[in-house]
Amino acid sequence: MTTELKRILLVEDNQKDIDLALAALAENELANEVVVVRDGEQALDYLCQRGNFRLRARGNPAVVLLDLKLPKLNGLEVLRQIKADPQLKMIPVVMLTSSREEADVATSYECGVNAYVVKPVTFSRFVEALRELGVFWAEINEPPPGSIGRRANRRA
Amino acid sequence: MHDPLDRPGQVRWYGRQVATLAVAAATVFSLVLLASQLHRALGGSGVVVGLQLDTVLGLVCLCSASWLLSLRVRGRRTLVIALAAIAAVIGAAALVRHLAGVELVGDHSVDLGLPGRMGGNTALLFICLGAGMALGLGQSHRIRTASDALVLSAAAICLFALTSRLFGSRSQYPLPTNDPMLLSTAVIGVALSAATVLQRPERGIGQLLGSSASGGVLARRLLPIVIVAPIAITWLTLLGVESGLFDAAVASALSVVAGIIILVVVLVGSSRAVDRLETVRHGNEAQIRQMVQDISRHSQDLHRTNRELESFSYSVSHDLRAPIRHIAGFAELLSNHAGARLDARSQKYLTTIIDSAQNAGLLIDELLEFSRIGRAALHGRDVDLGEIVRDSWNNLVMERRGRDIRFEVGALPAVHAGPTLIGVVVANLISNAVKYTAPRPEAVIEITAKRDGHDVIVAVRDNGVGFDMKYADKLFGVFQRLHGDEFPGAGIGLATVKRIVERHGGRIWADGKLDVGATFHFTLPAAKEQR
Repeated sequence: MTTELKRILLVEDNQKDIDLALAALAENELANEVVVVRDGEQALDYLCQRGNFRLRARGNPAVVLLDLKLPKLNGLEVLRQIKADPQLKMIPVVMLTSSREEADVATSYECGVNAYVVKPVTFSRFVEALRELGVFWAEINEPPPGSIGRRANRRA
Repeated sequence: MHDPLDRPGQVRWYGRQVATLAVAAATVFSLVLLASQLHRALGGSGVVVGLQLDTVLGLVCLCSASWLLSLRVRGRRTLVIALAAIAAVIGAAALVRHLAGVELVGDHSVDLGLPGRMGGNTALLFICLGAGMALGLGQSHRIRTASDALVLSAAAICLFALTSRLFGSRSQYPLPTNDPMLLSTAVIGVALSAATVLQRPERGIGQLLGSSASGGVLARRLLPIVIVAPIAITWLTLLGVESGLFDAAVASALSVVAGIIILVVVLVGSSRAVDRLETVRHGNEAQIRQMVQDISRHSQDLHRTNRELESFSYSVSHDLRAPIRHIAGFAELLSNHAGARLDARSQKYLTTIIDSAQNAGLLIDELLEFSRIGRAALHGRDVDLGEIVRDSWNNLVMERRGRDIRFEVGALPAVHAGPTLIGVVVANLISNAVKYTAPRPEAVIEITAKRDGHDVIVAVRDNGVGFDMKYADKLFGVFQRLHGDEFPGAGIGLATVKRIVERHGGRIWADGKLDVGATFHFTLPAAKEQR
């Protein structure tokens, strides 16, 4: 398990989606900025630096890309726990999901999600979406204090 | 004439007939009276009809009141009350005189040969009937009940006079109720009482007699028996005594036994009828309970099906989009990765895979949109149709690129609808018009609207490829397409449009001619402000 802290935490269980996301991030030269975890529990372990991620470097990622459908804890539950934790609640969380369901969108925003992105069907649009997400949250946006941002990364 | 199904009307009709009868009887009697007076005045002799002036006056008042009641004249109410009150006052005055033993000179004015006083029972009759008629026009329930009681008392007084006359009583008792009443007065009194009851079928006894429910049926059947049977029995036994068949004790015993038999028969009959009704009602109740159970089960089934549909559309949106995205994504990756090394045919295959996956994705999105519209709550308000049309037209900038389209919009009124949903309708119809006019060097798309009562009919006309009217009913079905691949589309757009229009309580239909053009009409409720 990784002990690194990177700017993007991708929470995704489907290997094909991970491959596509990594390929898209690679197209945008963001592949080295991402840590991938496979379920909700791991996501929280990573963020809270416990379990397998006990030894990871301190600090928060600049953004969490969260799938809705996840094993163990689903995306909404992870989101709720992040937003309920005083240490984590400032981390920007972006839902990256296949679901266009109104209920999912509404509940995510009620739980304090920072953005909601439906995965486009075609790869070129997906690349575009991930580039804009990566650029915005990891580059343009000023992350909350304690996060690994553009400048912190540069320093490291 | 009366409507046979209109029971109150029927009862009122009977009331009118009885009142007419009473008036006729009174008229005939007056003529007889006049004739006998004339006969006496001319020195003749014979049967003397003794009738006092006040009795005549009272009867005239009561008959006129009853007659007026049967006429549907405006303002009759006051007149009826006045006439009835006069009759009651005449009766009261006569009763006072009767009890005090005073005789007035005028008492003898009509008949000089007989003791010139109205009988005590006639006086009571006038009081009861007059007061009953007047109070019968009152509004409160209590007053009307009192009126019924008074009218029934009047009828009882007359019946008493009639039956005692029938049974041959000649006796004079000190009781004022037992004075001999003239047969004519008694008959007219009974008729007037009956008419009074029957002429107000919307309440009291009249209502019961007119009721089409089982109580009314029972009352109508039993009433004649209840009146006629006791009189007939007693009269027959009295006849037996007079002709020496048996003595008074036996006569009483006979009439008592016959009375008991008749009452028992009536009792058994009516109890049985009530019993039968109760059984039927229980059956109906059980049936209704069963129906309610069935309906609630169906509604539970519906709820379950709805929930299943919702979870189905959810998994479609989530689980089906993912593999399609993977196909499209990896095909594109492959094309990027190996593109240069692939021959033209392989490249084309890859492009086909990507396009198909993309279409499948769009199809799923449209299907989800279609099902979402079915479930979405409708938030209607007054919206400017013209603005929606302009927005839709501007949003189609991509589709209109390189086209020569004349877009004509007439005066469009405001409608009452959900703005987003109506946006979907207008956008779909205009986009279709743009799509199907593609082969035309100069396309014409025309949008007009006109009022139709509380609705607005909107028409979207184009000069495109049109369609054959025999397929018109297929236009609005899901996945129904009238054109092949030359025009892109999944075949859901018009189904969605129809669903939205119908959710607004409107209709949609289309006219078209192959190679000439198509016109889509739909109705929406007009804006509330303009209704």
